[in-house]
Amino acid sequence: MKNIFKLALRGLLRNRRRSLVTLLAIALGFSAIALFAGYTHNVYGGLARQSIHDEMIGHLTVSKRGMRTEGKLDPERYLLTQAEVDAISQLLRDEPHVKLVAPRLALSGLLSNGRASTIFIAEGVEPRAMALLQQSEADNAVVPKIKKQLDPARPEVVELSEGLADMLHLASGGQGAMLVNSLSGQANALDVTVGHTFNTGNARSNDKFAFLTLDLTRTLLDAEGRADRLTVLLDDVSQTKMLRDHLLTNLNGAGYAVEIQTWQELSDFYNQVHGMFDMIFGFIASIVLTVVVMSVANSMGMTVVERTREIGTLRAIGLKRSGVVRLFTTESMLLTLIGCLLGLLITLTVRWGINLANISYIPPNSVAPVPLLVDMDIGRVSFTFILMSVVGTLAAYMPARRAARKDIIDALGHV
Amino acid sequence: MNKIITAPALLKLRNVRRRFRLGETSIDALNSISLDIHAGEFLAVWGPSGSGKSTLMNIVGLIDAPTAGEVCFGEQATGGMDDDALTDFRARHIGFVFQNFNLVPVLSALENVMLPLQIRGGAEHKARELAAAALRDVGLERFKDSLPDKLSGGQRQRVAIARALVVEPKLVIADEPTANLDSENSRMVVDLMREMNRARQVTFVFTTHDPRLLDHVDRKILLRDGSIESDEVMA
Ligand SMILES: Nc1ncnc2c1ncn2[C@@H]1O[C@H](COP(=O)(O)OP(=O)(O)O)[C@@H](O)[C@H]1O
Ligand SMILES: [Mg+2]
Repeated sequence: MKNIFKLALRGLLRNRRRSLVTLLAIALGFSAIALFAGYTHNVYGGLARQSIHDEMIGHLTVSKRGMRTEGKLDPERYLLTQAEVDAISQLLRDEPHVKLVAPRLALSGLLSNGRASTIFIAEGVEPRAMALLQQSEADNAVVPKIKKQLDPARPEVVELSEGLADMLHLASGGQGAMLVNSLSGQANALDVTVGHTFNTGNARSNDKFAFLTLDLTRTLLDAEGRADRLTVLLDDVSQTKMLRDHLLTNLNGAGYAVEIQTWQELSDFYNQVHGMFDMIFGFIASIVLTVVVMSVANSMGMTVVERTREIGTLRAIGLKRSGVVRLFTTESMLLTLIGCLLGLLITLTVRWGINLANISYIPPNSVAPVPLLVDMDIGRVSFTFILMSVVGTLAAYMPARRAARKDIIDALGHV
Repeated sequence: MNKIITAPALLKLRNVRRRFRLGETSIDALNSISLDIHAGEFLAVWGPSGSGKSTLMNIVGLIDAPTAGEVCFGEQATGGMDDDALTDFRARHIGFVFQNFNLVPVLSALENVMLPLQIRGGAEHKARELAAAALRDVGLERFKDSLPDKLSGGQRQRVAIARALVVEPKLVIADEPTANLDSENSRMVVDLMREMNRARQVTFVFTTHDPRLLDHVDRKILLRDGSIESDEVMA
């Protein structure tokens, strides 16, 4: 009913100061939620890139079923054979959205500089695949990232984490030796040349980690053509889960006893941060919603008392109880809608300002600064918009019902 | 004035009592009132303060229910009607004029007059037309866009009369419509109601404690302590 709308709108203008205060509470609450959602959205995006590309987890990881839990005890059994690597890679490459299939092979052993040696953990990967894995379209790092690189022409060159290189006083170009147990249990040693060094960004791995060419790894392990997993890169991160299910069905159907993990399942850090931010988001959202409900209910409660005589008049001249409820809930609906719109405006303005301000910070567990950016998390913002409007409207229900239940003659006699 | 005698009873009150409870004690505001109000009457209820005038008006206007007794509007017994039915009934048949005017302060004169039409439901432009005509009838066409607080007391009460009449009710209830007006405006308001009563055959029942306003009425009922002390039909 259009006139209810008009009456409600004019009603809001009656006590402007109070309406404004409530409106601001709603708007600021809304923008707090929207901005935080936008910030976390950006962080999630950055962390996803970090996991998929910088840490080279890729989107999907295909391995023999049980590899992750039992592989350490019985490597021979859980490695993919050369035939499997070739066949599965071919199968995967024929699928849409698959950009790259890269066989990987992990190993560990001792690295020696001739006088001393220490434990290392390494990843064997093809140099070309390594370069492709680290390419991401939407990177916005403050300082350009130094990419880890291996040389396809020189398979004996290894990439060492900074701590590991420092510990053994191995500079770039220095010579060392790697001592490894081969698959069959024999000790294998090979001379290696130190290429670049890199920082893993994590103190616990920065003195152990290394990257080797896949060829060198296979030679050290005596594992010609084999791999412990295949890293799959997709052209669209949003397809990850869907493709995992699809590919798993296909591969299992083709008779391969493999399992597929998504990058999310393999990235503990991403999951920890996601979990923590989601909790903070829930906390902020519930506080804001409580404040909104309380201020709307309080404001409408006062309005209803102030307008008792008007309610009596409207009831006398023919407005039903349901009409009174409708009048006041419409009023609070308008209030929350306008509040949310104002909040959206604040969000856009603040977001614009923050994104323009070139702020950067060093997040925990990180070495390089990252830009502080706020995305527009359309999903969460619309959800907040709807939830807040509904909750704000309902907050007026109790006072509105109280108004509707009033005795007409008492209401008319009210001064 | 045989019109009063032959006209059908618009409203019948039979043994109407109204008791208010005040904690432990109770007050009988109306004691067994029986009364017929005829279509087209211009009726004043008068009496001292506390005699039960407002209580009677509320019951006649169907915004209050008697503790005992019956109220019939035309053929319709109102005792069994629920709140929605009564509200609907008021919206269609009864107009109200209040002592404090009770205009909605954020609506213009015209919008105030449109209100009962819109509550009843109907096209906006139609409501606008009818309301404008009603304002013209009370001589306030020029003030249709004014907010109530820009109008004098007399003008506000005329807007209220237009609001009461715009739905073409059978009955208009006015409880002390002149209590907040000076004598000149009081006179004008009563004359206006009288004029509308004559022109449209709308039944008016109003209360007053000012005997000077009783000289043009068809009938006057004197209330005292919740009972009818006299009921005079004027010649
Ligand atoms: N809501 C109420 N609660 C208690 N007593 C009331 C109420 N309304 C009226 N009364 C009492 O009923 C009597 C009649 O009141 P009322 O009808 O207002 O008289 P009048 O309009 O003639 O001044 C008075 O004694 C008044 O105190
Ligand atoms: Mg009174």
